[in-house]
Order: sequence, then structure tokens, then C-alpha cells
Amino acid sequence: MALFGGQRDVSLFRTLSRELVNKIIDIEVDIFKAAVYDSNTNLYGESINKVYKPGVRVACLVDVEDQDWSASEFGMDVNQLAKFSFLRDDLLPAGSIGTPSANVVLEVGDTIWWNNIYWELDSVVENQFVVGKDPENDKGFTSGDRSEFGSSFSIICSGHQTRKSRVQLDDIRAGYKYGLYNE
Amino acid sequence: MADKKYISDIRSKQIDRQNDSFKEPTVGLYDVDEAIHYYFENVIQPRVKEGENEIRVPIVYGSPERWSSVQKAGVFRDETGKIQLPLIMYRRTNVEKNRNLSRKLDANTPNLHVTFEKQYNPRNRYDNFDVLVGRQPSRKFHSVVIPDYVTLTYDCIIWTDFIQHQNKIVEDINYASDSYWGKENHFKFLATLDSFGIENDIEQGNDRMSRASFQLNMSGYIIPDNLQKDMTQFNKTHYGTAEVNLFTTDVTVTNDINKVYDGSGNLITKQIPDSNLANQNLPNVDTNPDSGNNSSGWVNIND
Repeated sequence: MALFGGQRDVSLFRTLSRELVNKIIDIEVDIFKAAVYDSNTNLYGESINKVYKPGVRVACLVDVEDQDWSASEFGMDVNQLAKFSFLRDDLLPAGSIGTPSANVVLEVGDTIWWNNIYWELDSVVENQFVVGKDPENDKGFTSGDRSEFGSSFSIICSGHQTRKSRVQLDDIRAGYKYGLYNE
Repeated sequence: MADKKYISDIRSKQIDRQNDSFKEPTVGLYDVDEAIHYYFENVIQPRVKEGENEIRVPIVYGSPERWSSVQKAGVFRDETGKIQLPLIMYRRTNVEKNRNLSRKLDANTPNLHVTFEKQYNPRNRYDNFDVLVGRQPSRKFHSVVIPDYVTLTYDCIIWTDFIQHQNKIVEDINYASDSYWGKENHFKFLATLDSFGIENDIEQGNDRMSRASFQLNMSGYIIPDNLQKDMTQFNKTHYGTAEVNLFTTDVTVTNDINKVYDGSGNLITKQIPDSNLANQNLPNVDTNPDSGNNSSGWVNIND
């Protein structure tokens, strides 16, 4: 039986990390997941009229790269890459492990709204285990030979700036929509 | 040939047109570019459905200046400057001379012209005196050098978010092929296109790319607005029938160099040799058929 990485240790790490991410740094993003059963796709695997599930606001760490401007025949275009690091326990359903409990499963292709930009997730990495163990896949724990050790601690997503015309969450064709005096 | 004069200094050919409101036609590459833009915007009008709305697809000329691209072309950009789709781009990539059609032969001494008569002539205002003396109406002709026929090649790209949008735009443009593009009552050019190249890719760190590219061929023509044309074309000379007074008889020299009529329309001279024409007391008659733009053998009289 392992000496370290038991549930009391994991709880300590979780409490400290939650305080850091949610109370001290406190960068919040909105996660939009496509409503798979409500969005009709065509032969090409695309949906002209996308439907999204209600956005979920979650705190995370954001590591954003510089804007990358490129010149093409269409003129200048900009792209940006960012990395969003979530505490995995914050994303679990209510009643799992304390609060916050966003109840969302991040997947490639989900959309994140942050800094007035929609980010399409290119990758979702769940590979940070406390003491190298994920209780869900730990043979010793699942077979009942020993108690719960370790924890899958984070979910790190990489995304790129996507076009609002593709996301269709904003009315980008409406022009100036705040009135003459920005009221 | 070193002392060959490319620009004529025959003063009799140089006519002051300071008060002449006639504007010679000029056709340039810009007219062809503009015709394409006009046709896309006003005739083809490619539209796609985006959610509940139907939007018009903007068309841009390729590779604009940076400031214009970012600061002025805001209609298809969001607040961060990212291009919003769908979008159509076109740009001219080649201009090829078409020698299968007629040509002017030599830029220094253009040989082929289109000649037309101007309908209104202020000299022909109605006057009873003209009727009394049997004065023939004055006719005014202009000759314009025939254009250089060229084939212009354009690279066009349709950039969309969705293949479904791409299909719609390709269908619209394909339907408009093999027709004359341009404004009504303005220059028009035959537009042809043969094939569409389709490119649908997805790569890490970028949006899914859905592009269709095609090559647009425009059969165009060019009449430049430059000094060389003005100085060598002699099209500033207007010519035609004119009146000369021989004592008390009005004589009209017509298109036929060898026939001279009196004021009442009677033929008074037949078959005057060119060399003798100058001896008939006809002032300012140019009998040299090679000296000007009278390729049809007309007489140039500077009235």
C-alpha cells in the first residue's frame, strides 16, 4: 500500500487549488457545448443551424499566445492560440466533490468564450495524475485490494480563435447594435 | 530609321479641340476589373443562408493594402480583425494579347480605325439663309483606333465556413459563365470559366477550411488614354464634306474624291486626277491618301 497520495492528501491539493483558481486568480470562461441531438448535420458533417446547450461558466487558468497575423490574398487575418487549464473536480456534476460543480464534459470541438473571442478546442488533455494514479483506472482500487489513491487532477484544453460566422452565437451581420450613443 | 518621326508634325492635322466636348472612348484594365465586381454584386448576387438569415457574400479584390484590409474592410471582420466568412476574392494574374482578332498593326502609325459620324453638329443649326444658298449640311466624323484585344485571367477563390455554402456559390457563379459581364450601357466583356478546384481541409490550430478556386477568363479590349495614342492616331482630325467657294458657285467635295458638285447638286467635274486636284483652285485640300487616317480614300479638308 502506498504511503502518500491518499484521499486526505488529494483533498488538501484540491482545496488549495480551488482557492487559487476560483478565489485568487478567478479567470472565468464560458463553455458552450453543441446540442448533438438538436443540431442537424448534412452529408458533409456540418450544421448550418447549430444549437448549443446553455453556457457554463467555469474558472480556469488561461495561457494565451500572441496574436498571429498573416497576409493572404484575402488581406490580413489573425489567429490566436490559447491553453485553458481546468481543475477536473470543478467540472464534475453537483454532489460529486464539493463546489463548484459545472457538470460539463469537455471534448474536442467545444467552444469556449473568453476575452471576446470564441475558441474552438483542438485538443483536450487529461494526463495529470497525483502520484501517478487515476482512481477510476487504478486496478488496486477498482478490484478492492486497497483504498483510493491519487487523482486525475486537471483537464488542459488547447484551442484556437474561431470565426464568429462559424459559431453563430453572435449576430455579427447586424452592424452597430448599441444605438447612436452607445446606450 | 533613326530620324523617323513617330509623331507627326503636320500642322494641318493638328486641330484645336479645346472647346470640343466629345470624349474619346478609352477602355482600360480597371474597366474589366470593375465589370467583374459589378456583375458579382448586382447580377449574380451570391447569397447563402446563415441561421435564419440570408446574407450576401462580399467580394473583394485580392491582396489589398494592409491598412485598407484591416481598417476599412470591417464589413467582413469581427472586433479582433478576424475575417468572417463566406467571402469571394478575385485578382488578375495575367494579361495576354489576342492577335487572332484585328489589330491596329503599329502603335506609331495605327492603320485601323472605327469611324463614326457624330449626330449633332452645331454648325447645322436651321437657318433660312442656308436654304437660300443651298448650303450642304456639315458632317463631322470621328475615328477611333480599334482596341487591343486581350485575354485577362483572374484567380478567384470562394472561402466559406461550410461546404453547403460553397455549393450554393459555385452553382451561382457557374450559371453566370459564358456570358457578357459588365454594367448596362457600358463596356461588357465575355467571361468564361471551365473548372472549380475544391479544397476542404482541417488542420490543427486553425478553422476547418472550405475553399473553391476557379480561373475566370475575360475577353477584354484596351484603348489606352495615353499621349502616344493621342499624338499618333490623328483621330483628333475630323473630316468629311466641306464647302469651298469658287467665285460665285458653291462647290462641295464629297466622299468621292473625283466628283465635285455645284451648289444645286449638279456634277461639274468628273474624274479629276489626284495630281490635278490641287490645280482646281480648291484651297486646303489634302490629296495624299497616305498622309492621314483616310484609309478609305476620303479627302481630308480642314474647314
